[in-house]
Amino acid sequence: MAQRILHAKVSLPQHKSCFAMLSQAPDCDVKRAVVFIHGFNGGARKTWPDFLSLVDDPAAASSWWESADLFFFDYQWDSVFRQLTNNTLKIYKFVINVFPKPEVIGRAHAYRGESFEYEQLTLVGHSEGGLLLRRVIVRAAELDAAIDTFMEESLHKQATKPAPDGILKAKMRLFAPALGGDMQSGILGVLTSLPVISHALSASAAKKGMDQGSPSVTEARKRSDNYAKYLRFECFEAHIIWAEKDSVINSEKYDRDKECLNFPAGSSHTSVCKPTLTFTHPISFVEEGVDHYECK
Amino acid sequence: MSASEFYDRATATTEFLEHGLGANLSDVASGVATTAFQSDEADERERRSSALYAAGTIMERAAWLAIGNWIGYFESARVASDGEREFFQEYADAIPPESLPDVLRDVRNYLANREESSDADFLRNFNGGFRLKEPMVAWYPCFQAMLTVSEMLSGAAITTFFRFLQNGDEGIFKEYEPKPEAVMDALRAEGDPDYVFINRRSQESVLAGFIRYTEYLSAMDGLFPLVQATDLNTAPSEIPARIVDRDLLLILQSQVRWRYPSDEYVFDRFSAVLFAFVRLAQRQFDSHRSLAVQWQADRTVAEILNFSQRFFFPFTPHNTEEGQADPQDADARRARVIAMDKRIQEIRAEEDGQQFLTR
Repeated sequence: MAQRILHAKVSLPQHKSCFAMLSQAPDCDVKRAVVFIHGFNGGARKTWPDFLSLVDDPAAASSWWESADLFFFDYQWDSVFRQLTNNTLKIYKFVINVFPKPEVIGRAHAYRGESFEYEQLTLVGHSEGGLLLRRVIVRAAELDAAIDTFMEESLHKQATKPAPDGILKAKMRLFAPALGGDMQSGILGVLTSLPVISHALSASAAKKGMDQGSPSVTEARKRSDNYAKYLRFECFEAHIIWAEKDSVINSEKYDRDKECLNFPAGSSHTSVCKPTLTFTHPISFVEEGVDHYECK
Repeated sequence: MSASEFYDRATATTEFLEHGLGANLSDVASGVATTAFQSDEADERERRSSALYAAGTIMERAAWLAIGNWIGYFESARVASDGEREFFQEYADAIPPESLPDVLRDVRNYLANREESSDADFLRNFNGGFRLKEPMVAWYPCFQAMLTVSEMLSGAAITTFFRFLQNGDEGIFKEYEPKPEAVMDALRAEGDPDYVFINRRSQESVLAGFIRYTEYLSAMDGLFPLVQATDLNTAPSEIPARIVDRDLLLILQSQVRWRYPSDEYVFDRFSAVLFAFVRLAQRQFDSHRSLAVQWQADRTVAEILNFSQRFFFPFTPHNTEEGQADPQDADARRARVIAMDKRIQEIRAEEDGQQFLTR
């Protein structure tokens, strides 16, 4: 039997607390980057703990993962509202330094040659990380000259739709994405997001007190839906999986999002993105999105 | 080509020593020792407690390196710097070997030994309870995940919590209820660590550390979920190696257990923080009644206690026969021991006498 190709953890020189899991496959066999963005009060280490080992377990993850490099971004966690713009910019810069050319890993080791580029990009967000990724994609679209021209021209005539370029080639996989402004911040937000508390909250709990009218939220949604309508890029059509017993956020998708039709049994807002030895659904979802059989 | 050559051991070792958990633990050890001795506010008891915490951290780092080298994940490397070793030897007498699990005891005795000795020889002779036939490549992903998750243990807030367990005055939580805003400030301050631990002004920092501690426990539960044969629809003897290997790795994960002191006051200290945390959460939910939050505090408390027992006082075969209220649970545990024993027979070196499950 062929030896499973494992991943090696490396720190990222310009990004404290962030890290990558680089496939030990040769450059020619590495096809894709997968970037993980945690949610409020999450962290690169604590939000995705067993993705790290299970992607190397043939019983849990397909060979798709052997040709993938994984990047775990860590941002200031108490970000709801106050740091939304700041964190969007940080994540945008991070992602464009990952894809297509992984400048972010530096040259301190032998991984990935000078000319190496990824072919595919998957962006994975949990909770607030989902909102941040949507804003990152909107920003990338706003900075894309071809899209700008197309959107302008399509107001008056039939225009030629541009092909997605750069990080707009991404596929989006979102676990219980927040709409933004719909989560509690401060110490209450911290407490409700702790796994030991989240598991013990009733399903109708914290999501009641929300502010969905926040300009930053409605604007992100309006722009995403608008781009999705005209461009039909995959990055504007996020695949979403909701938790069965979510006490933290409102579950509401954007117009073109695709939802997993089954809630993972017993999953909470914090556990829905965490694979374990016996719950490998999150791994398959990142790879296949709602096309995975457990979503149908 | 041997299986271990598929893995880049040099990168793994450099990552640990220069950027990852090893580097973090070294920073904590020097930070705790230096700030305590420079602080005008710390009294003699607090200084000594700081020194012991720093020594424990040096020992933990060396144990990670030794275990990683034993399974073939790390290359041979310096177990401790000359300065760390000298520091450890000064305080080693206050860390009695009989209070430590086997893996840590071996490391402690090596670091405490003032005679000329070689790190390379120590690492070559070290084993986690039995000698291995070959590098345990199948364990690398989980071991790597353990290293990564355990980086959470070197945060400033969680360090304050563990130091409270060692030297705290539980009475501080009776003086006043910690202020939520100050707990938030302590959580935010982690980017700029301050390792000074002063009993009389640390309530909020200890509570922030406890919050981080619960997050560490949850992350560990993700790595080591309780999987029963019944979950897998299989006979106990047929539990797959990938599941049994986690049981073995969890028993090996004993290098963090020095953080829970064996003294008689630790339970009182732990309880004081746990119930301060529960009161904080309950007050928050009570003051936001419009959210209609319904929180089962007893479920949270049970989960924290259960996780603490699993990850700091893990199940070993010694307690499989006794103290099990549920006979089915005892049967399941016995089955796991049989499965572990079978797995050890497969992976241990031929000439090795098996000690792991009886130590």
